[in-house]
Amino acid sequence: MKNVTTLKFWMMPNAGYDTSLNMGKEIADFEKLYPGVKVELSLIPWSQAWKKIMTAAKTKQLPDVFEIGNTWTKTMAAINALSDITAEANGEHLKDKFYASAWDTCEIRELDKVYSLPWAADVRLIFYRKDIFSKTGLTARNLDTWQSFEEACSALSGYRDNAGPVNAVGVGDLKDSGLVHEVAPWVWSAGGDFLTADGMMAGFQEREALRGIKFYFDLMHKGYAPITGRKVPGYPVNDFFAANRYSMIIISSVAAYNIPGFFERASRPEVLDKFGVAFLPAGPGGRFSFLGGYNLAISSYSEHREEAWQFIKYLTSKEFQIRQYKAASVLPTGIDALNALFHEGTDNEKVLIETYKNYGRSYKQVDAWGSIEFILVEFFGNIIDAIKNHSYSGDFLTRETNKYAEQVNYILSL
Amino acid sequence: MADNIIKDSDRAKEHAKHLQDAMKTFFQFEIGFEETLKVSLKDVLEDVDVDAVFVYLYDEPTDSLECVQARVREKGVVAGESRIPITHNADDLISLVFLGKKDYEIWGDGFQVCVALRSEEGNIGVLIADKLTTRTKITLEEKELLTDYAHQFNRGIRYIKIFQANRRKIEMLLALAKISEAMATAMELEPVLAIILKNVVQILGFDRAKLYLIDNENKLLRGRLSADIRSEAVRPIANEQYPLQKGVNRVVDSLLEENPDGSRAESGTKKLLLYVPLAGKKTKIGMLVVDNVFSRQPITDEDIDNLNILANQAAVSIEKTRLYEEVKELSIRDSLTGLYVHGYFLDRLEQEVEKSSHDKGRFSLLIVDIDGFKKYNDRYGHQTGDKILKILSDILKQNIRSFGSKGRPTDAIGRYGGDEFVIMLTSIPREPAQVVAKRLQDVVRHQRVVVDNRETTFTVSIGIALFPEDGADQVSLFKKADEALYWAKQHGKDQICMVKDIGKKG
Repeated sequence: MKNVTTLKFWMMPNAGYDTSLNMGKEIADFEKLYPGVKVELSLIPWSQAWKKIMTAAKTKQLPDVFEIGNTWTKTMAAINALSDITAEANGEHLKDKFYASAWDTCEIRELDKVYSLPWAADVRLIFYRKDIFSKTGLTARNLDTWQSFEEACSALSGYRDNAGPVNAVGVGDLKDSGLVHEVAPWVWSAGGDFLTADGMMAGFQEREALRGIKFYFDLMHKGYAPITGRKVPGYPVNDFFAANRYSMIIISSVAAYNIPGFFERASRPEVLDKFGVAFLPAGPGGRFSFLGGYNLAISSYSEHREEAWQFIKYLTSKEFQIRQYKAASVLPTGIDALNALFHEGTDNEKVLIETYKNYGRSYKQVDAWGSIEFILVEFFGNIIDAIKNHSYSGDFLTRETNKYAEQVNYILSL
Repeated sequence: MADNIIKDSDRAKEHAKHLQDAMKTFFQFEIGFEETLKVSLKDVLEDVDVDAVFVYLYDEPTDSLECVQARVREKGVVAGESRIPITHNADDLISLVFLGKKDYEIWGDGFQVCVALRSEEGNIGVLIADKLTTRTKITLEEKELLTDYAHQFNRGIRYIKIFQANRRKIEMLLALAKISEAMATAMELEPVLAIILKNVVQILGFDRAKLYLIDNENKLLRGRLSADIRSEAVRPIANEQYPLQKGVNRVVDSLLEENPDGSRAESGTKKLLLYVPLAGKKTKIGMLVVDNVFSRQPITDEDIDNLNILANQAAVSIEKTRLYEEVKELSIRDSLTGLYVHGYFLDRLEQEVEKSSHDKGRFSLLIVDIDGFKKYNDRYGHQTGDKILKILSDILKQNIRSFGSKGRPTDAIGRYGGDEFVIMLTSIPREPAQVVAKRLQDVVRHQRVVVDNRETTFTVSIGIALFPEDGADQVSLFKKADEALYWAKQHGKDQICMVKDIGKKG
């Protein structure tokens, strides 16, 4: 009897409840292509993924292949969880097959080594209500710069429909890593960054970064964006769509999954008629969007490296990425897949693709980013609390910024 | 047990069998907690006519119920992403069940049911099932059947927790015993420090560890070694040196603090960093600093206990090896000059020949002899002779001292016998041996020696041999350096002669 290699595979539910069904079929197809290999899939909720992977890494009980958030590569490599796949990736010239911004999240640049493959991507975009904009005399062009964006918020803040006032803008305020991803584009657009260029010190206490942070939270402070205080993770896209309580919302493109057919021409014309997609506004430092997404990695302890490599290559292939997009609106990372899907894009799709290609950016790679993100969540969470209890002020922001910058510096000094 | 409401005896038997199977799974400790639940939920769906079943366990840090396992009839295992916050609202039915105010609750038009998971230690979570796909009401019998499973899960979860905790304790004790044994057999400080640090990351599972020792002589806290989970090797951190005073460095501040607990977690870093003082018999001797900054796993009380056990053993081992090294140092030092004795110097020379042969390196050997030493002894007595020997050895020590990567001197000075001294200079070719020799001669020549209230001076002659040009082993190298010294003495004293210059001068 032929020996069967079993690959253990952990993934998170990237595209909602049906991920397992979709992936089950993909796995069956892969197993047909590689008859000696069986893939054992375990689904891990995102909320538990970091802890579970870290614990497994410490006890050397990682699965052969696992999904990681695309900001995790450096830290996971630092604790020896990830296998170095540089030779395989270079051997097949994979770098040229993916968008540079996505590939960047797989490499550790100072070592010139590859530790994961880009699986899926998402970027922050503005989804806006065409009808409300039209009634208020606005277009997507009014969202082009910080100044015009704020003016648009001001103009929209008086809008009411039959059910009452409609909020000008919806932004993320949930106290988890997502909050840092929401603030990041504003920090970068202001010309700042969370860390200094060499990654050795905190940078968010500098004038430019602070300006970006202030602009974002001022949207809440000035009453343009309500603080929802949601406890359950998730974005209110459905609220937005169904209840008409926002004129626009800044949100991850993955959330488009919650609006069926949003990026697919002709599937839901009434949706396309109602909503437009716009770039995040350009600030004094340029235009940026946070590039999030998921990568695939092979455990450094895997005894089935060759099979694991074939599997992650399969999952990042053009064909798979196209199927995944069609099944779950997950944005591909491969150039060929993206070109095949959007070669004649609608206006909404063009904004999505251009944001991805030209404005997507991720964090500076440092080993301790996980902990720094944790500190930033607390910092931004405190700002939200201060806005809620009316203790937010310039002095408060300076004091809190310096306090948390000191904590980040300490972490980086260890 | 639900038997009392199951009318059909075959059905009751079937239920009992499924319950038994679900429980058996919990005894397969080695497959892990989540796997056991995964299998058990399959039994629930085979036995009870519900569409989906979810196990939520309480997560203290977030004060919420976390879905740890979920199974849907048509889909199989699914990832339960949701986290349910605990509230004290009267209309929050799941919280009411979890908090023990109700044993179960049926809601959502009767399609959903929640049953408490409760162990002897308290509330641990809830079991939720639904018939949302078939849109039929949960029956009383189904609720009772689910309650039976909840009881089994309570017991099973408790067994697994006890098993896992005990297994961790046993593994840790075995690991600590192994570390103790390794530390007990190592006689030198560096290997002991390396054992401590490697085990802190590999056995205790911290991301990184650093070890500092107090240098009482210079009133410094000196970094010695660091280790991290990524690499097998430990690295020196000699560049980290802090004065032993408050306000300069957090590690020193923590060390100088009166801290009866012996360890503390740094605030601001959310239990990711821990300072553990190394307490010797009488005073603190250093500090062990560990962190989980990369993995962001909070350091637990159990981690602190294990680290304290290890730190206590480490402190004993460090003190023991330091004592051993002090005794060893005494045995290899000349009592008058403090320089290496003849035998030890030859050992060092042999090691350097071996190392340099392997690395294709170069070094030089100098033999220094006091010119006319006999006359000082004869004229002023042996005490004066000893005084001159001491003065010369101090000059040698002050002028020849280079350090290797671990902060240890790489050059070596020995008293070969009588008034002859030997120097091994590994720092060439950065500074050529003859330059060093010339500097020594100059310093010696200008050194005033007070004898019987009168000032006098003395000079030295120096012979120099180079490895490997003048000799490929320690015996031939020594012989050549001696010949060069002899030649220097024969040609006027207060001279320097290199082997290659024998016969050329004069």
